[in-house]
Amino acid sequence: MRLRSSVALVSLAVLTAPSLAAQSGSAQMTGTVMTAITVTGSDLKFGTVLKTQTKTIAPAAGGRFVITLAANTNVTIDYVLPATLGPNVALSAWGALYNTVNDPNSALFVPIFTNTGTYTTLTPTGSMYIWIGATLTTTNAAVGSYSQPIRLTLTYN
Amino acid sequence: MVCLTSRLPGFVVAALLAAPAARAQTGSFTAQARVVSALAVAATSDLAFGQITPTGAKTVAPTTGGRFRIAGTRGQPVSVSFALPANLGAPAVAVGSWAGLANTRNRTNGAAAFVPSAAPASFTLSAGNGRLFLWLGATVTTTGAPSGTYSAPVTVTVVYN
Repeated sequence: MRLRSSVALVSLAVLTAPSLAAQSGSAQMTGTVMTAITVTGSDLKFGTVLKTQTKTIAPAAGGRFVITLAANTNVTIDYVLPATLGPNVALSAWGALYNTVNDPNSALFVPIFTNTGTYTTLTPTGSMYIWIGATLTTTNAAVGSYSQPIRLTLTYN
Repeated sequence: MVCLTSRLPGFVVAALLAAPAARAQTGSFTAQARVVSALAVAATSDLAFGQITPTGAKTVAPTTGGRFRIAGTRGQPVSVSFALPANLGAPAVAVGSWAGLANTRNRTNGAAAFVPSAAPASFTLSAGNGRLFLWLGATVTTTGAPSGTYSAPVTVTVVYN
């Protein structure tokens, strides 16, 4: 008897399944359209240097990143700076200026102690300006042209 | 899944599709430098006017005048400026009407004429050996100048552009 009553219960469950399939439910789905981040830049030019020389380009006169993004939104900035431009052409003493307007004179100086790193910031204007300078040291370097990329990646938090 | 997506409002679908591209962006520029060899400048010939009367004028053309030899990195542009004297040590021995010739070869044939001045002028060192030759000429004018020997330096300054 017990066995038969159990079978009956299972049958009931199978029979009620079609009525569940007919029910409806809803879930709210939302998305936020973010302002696309744009990053443009100008090169950090040391110009001509002698085979053995030290030359410093101040951030205000150095390379510049111009960034547009959503205002008042936290963003993470990952940077990668080269340690050298080539054999015996070393880079050091990196420094940056940061501003939300295109004015290095009123910008905030940001020392850079490592060649890779991360900052988190936001801008009320939707614009960021970053100027980058460094010191180049040649030590009996071979004559020629040298260059290496400076990369900045911005990600909305 | 297909059914669910088709029921979403169009702007939500667009946001979901566009979000990855807008969320992060990488910008890149370069740090760049050009290593050059040190510049060497040598005056290989003086601008000699020779003898002149107490009152008179004498012109020495660049082809027979003073000469500078410049050596540096091949093919590099340089700026050349001159500090030119107004006289040879006495106002009665004035010098002016400066004229110049420039060539990457050590010959005046085919050299380009220029006017030497304190304002920097651009030249390009030889692509073959990094040399540049400059010749200078001028006119000396004496006005009751006492007998004697007169001289004054002509200084050329060369820097990489």
